[in-house]
Amino acid sequence: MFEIVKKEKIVSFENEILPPCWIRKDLKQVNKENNYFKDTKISKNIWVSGIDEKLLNELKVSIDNAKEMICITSYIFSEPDIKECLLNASKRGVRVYMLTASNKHLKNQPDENDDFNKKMYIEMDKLFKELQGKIKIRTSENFHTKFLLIDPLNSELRQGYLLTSNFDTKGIKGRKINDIFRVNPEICIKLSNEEVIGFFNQFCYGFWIESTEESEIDGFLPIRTRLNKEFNLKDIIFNSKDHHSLEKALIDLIAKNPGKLTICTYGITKNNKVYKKILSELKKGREVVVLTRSRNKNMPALIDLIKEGAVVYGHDDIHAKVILIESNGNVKGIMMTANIEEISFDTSFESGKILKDEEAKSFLKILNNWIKNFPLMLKNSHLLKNIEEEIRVWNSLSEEIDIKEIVEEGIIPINTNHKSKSIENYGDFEILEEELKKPNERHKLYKKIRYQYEIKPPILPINAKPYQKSNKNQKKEKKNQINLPIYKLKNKFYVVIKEKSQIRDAKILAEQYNNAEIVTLEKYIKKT
Amino acid sequence: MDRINLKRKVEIEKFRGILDIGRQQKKESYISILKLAEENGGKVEAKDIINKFFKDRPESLGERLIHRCYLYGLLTEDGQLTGEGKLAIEENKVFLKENGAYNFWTTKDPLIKQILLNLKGISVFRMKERSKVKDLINIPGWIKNLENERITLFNKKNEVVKIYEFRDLVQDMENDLNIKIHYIVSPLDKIEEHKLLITGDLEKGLTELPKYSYEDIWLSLLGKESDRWDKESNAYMCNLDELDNSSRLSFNITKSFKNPKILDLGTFNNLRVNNIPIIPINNEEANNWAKWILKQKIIDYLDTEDYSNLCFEIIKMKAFEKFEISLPAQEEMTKFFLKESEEGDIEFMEKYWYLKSPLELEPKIVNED
Repeated sequence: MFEIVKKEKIVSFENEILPPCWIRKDLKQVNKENNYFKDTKISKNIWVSGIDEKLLNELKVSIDNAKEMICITSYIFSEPDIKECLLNASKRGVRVYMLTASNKHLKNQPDENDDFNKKMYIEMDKLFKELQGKIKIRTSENFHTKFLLIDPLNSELRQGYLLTSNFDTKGIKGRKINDIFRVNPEICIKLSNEEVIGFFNQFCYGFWIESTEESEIDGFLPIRTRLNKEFNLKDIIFNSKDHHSLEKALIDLIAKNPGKLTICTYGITKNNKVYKKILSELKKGREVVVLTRSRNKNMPALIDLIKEGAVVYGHDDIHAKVILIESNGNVKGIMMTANIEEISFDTSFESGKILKDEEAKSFLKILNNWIKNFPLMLKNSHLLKNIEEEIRVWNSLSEEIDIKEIVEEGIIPINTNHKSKSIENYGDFEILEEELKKPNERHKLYKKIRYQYEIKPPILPINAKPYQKSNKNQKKEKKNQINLPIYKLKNKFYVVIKEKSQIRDAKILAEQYNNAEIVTLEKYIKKT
Repeated sequence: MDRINLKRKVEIEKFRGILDIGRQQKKESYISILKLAEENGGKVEAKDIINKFFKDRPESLGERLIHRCYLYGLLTEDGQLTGEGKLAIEENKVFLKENGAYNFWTTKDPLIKQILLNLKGISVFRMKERSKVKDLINIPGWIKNLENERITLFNKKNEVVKIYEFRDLVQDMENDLNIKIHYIVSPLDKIEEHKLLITGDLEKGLTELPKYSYEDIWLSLLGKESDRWDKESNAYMCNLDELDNSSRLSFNITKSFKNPKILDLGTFNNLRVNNIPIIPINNEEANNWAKWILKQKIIDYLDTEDYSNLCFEIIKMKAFEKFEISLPAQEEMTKFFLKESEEGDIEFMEKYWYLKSPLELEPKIVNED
C-alpha cells in the first residue's frame, strides 16, 4: 500500500502595500473610555455635544426664556425636548418660525420592508402633526443650515446659536450604542447681538424666497405668493440658490491667512472651488489636517489629499464643519453648516460665521482634542505588517469602502490532488508558489497564509484498459518471475503496482513497454 | 337688480250665445263705392255708381249697392259716408256682418284691458258637443257693453271683429282655455322695457301696459318691508346677521314673495327676485360688515402695503360709500385672529400667520435698533 504525503507551505503578505485605507489608531480606546471633553461647555459661548447635555440645556433654557419670537432652522428636526420647548413657547404666545427639510421624509410613502424609512416616516408624520398650526413651518429640500434665534427683533433680549448639528438628539447629545455612549462631534456657538441680525436676515430670506412649501392646517402646501421684500444680505456669509458668499469667504480665508489648515467636515468632494483651493495649497507645501467621516463619497477627494501629504483623521459620526488656520499662535477660522461639496456651495441653503480670535482658539482646542480621540486615520501606501486591527480599504473598482478583518495567519487547504510524476519519490513533490492563489475575500486580509495540500503517487487513468500481453512477452516475464498488469490508454502503457517493493520489477516491465509509466490504483493508497 | 317677473293664471269666463258680428275683410267693390262717395264730397248716388262702374246698366243696381253699404253701416240710407265708412277706406277693409251661435271667452283680469279674448262660431248641429253647458243666463252688462266695439281677438289670426249685438240670453260654459299673463317689469325703469305677455292656449304681446314704474312695483312687492329700501342707494338695508356668507361678500340677496298682491293689479304667483343690492342698515353694521369682509379676504400673506390696500379696497366698496368705516390695523387684526384661534377656531391661526409673519419677518439693518 502507498501512503498520502501531507505537506504545507507558508506564504507571507506582510510586506504588501495596501491601497488607501482607514486604520484604527488604538482600538482599545474606541468605544470604551475616551478623552473627549468631560465638560462640553468649552468657553462662555461655545459648546460641543455631549452626554452632560449642556448644549441641549442651553438651547432649552434660551427657548424657555423667549418672549416674542423664535426662528429655528435645521435640515432635520426631531429633538423631542426642543420640540416640547417650542410648543410651550407657542402656548406662551411666542411666535415660532421654522425652516427645515425634514418633511422630505413625508413626500414618499416608504416600502413596507424599508424599516428605517418607515420608522422615520411615522416619526416625522407624528412630529409635524403636533407642530402644525402652532408653529409656522416652511420647507425646502435645500434647507441645510442650522441655527436658533431668540427674540431677534428685540435688542435687549435677542440671542442666537449657530450649530453644526441638526436639531436631533444624536447631534445635540450623542447616542449610546450597546450601552456605550458615543460622542457625536458637533459644535455650537452663541452669536453676538449683531450676528443675530445677520442670521435673522438670512432666515427672512429663507422664509420668503427659498422655501417651497409651508405647513398649513391641511398639511404641507406649495407657497402661493411671495412677498416683495428687500433683503439686506451683503454682510452675511451664506449660500443659497442665488447667493454664494460662503464659498468666497472660505477661499479668502485660506488665501489670505498662511499657516496650518485644519478642516473638519462631514463631506468632502473634489468638484468645488474650496476643495481645489485646499489641494493647491497642499501642493504648495502647506500643512493640511482633515477631520472627516469614512464615507464612500469622501474617498476620491481624501485620497488625493493624502497623496499630497495631508493628514486625515476619521470618526463615524463627525458632522461638524469648520476650517481653521493656525499660524504663530494666531488662529483664524470659519464655522459653517456647509460641507465641502459642490451642492453646499451651489444650491444648498447654508450659513457661515467668521470666528473671532478667542472663538477660533477654542475651536482649535476642540479640533485638537478630536484629533487625539478620533479612532481612524486614512493611510496611503501602508504596509500590511503594520496593521493589527480591522481596517477599511478603499475599493476603487466598486467605489466602496470594504471593512476588512486582519487575520495574522490563515489556513487554506488546497483540494486539488497533486500527483508526482515519479512514483519512486512522490513525497518529494513541491507545489510551485505561483500556483498558490491569494484569497480575495471582501472582509478579510491575511498577513500569512498556510497552504495545506496532499501528495499522492501517480494513479492509473480511469479510462485505461488492461493490455493483453503477447506470448513472447508473457514467456519473458515468466522467465523473470515478474507478474504485473499492464494497462494502455491511447498509445501510452501503464504498469500498475500495489506497493513500493514492486517498483524494481515495474521498472523492468516499463522498459519493455515503451517506457510505460509506473502507477498505482486508489485502492492501494492507505486512507488517512 | 333683476327684472320682476309677475305671473298668474288668467281667470276666464266662457259663454255661448247668439251674436250679430262683423268680421273685417277686404271687399274691393264696397271700398270703391266708398272712395267714390269720398271723391264726391262725402255722398254717392246710384247714378254716380252706374256712371263710374256699370255704364249702360239700370240705376236700380246702384241703389241696391248703396242699400247694401247702408246695411254694413258704411253709408247712410241716402248715400252719405258714415264714420265707419271713412274708417273702412283707411283700413281698406270692411266689416262683413254675420250672425249665429258663438262661443266666446272673456276675462276681467286687471292686466288685460280687453274683455273679449276670443270668439269662435259654432255649428248649430254641434252645439251640444264639447264643453259642458250650464244654465242660460242674462247677458252680463260688462259683456253687453262690448257691442259696437272693435275688438282684435287674441287668436292666431289676430282677427278684428265688431259685435253688433249680443242676444239677451247666453249660456254660461265651463272654461276650456288656459292662459297665463306675465308682467315683466324691467329695472331699467323704462316703460317700453316692460312687457305684458299672454302665454298658453293664446299667445299675445299686449301693448297696453300698466303705468307703474319698476320702483312702484318693487315697493309694492316689499310691502311692509318697503321702509328698508334705501331709495338713494337703490339697495335693501340689511343687518349682517341676516345674511349668509355669499350675500355678505356679493352685496346681493334673493328675496322670495308668496302670492304678492301688487297695487291694483291683483295677486300673482309666488316669485323670487334675484340680485337685489344690499347695504348695511347703519354705520355700526357697516363697520361690522367691513371687518367681516376683511377677515374673509385675508387668504395669504400680506405685508403692510398689501394690508392697507386691502382695507382701502373694502372701505371704497359701493355698499359702504355712505358710511364711515374704520378697519383695524394689521397688528390689531393679528390679535383678533389669535384670540379666535385660541377659542377653538383653528382656521384663524393661518390668517394670524398671514398677517403676523410679514410684520415680523422683515429684514433688518444692523444697528437700526
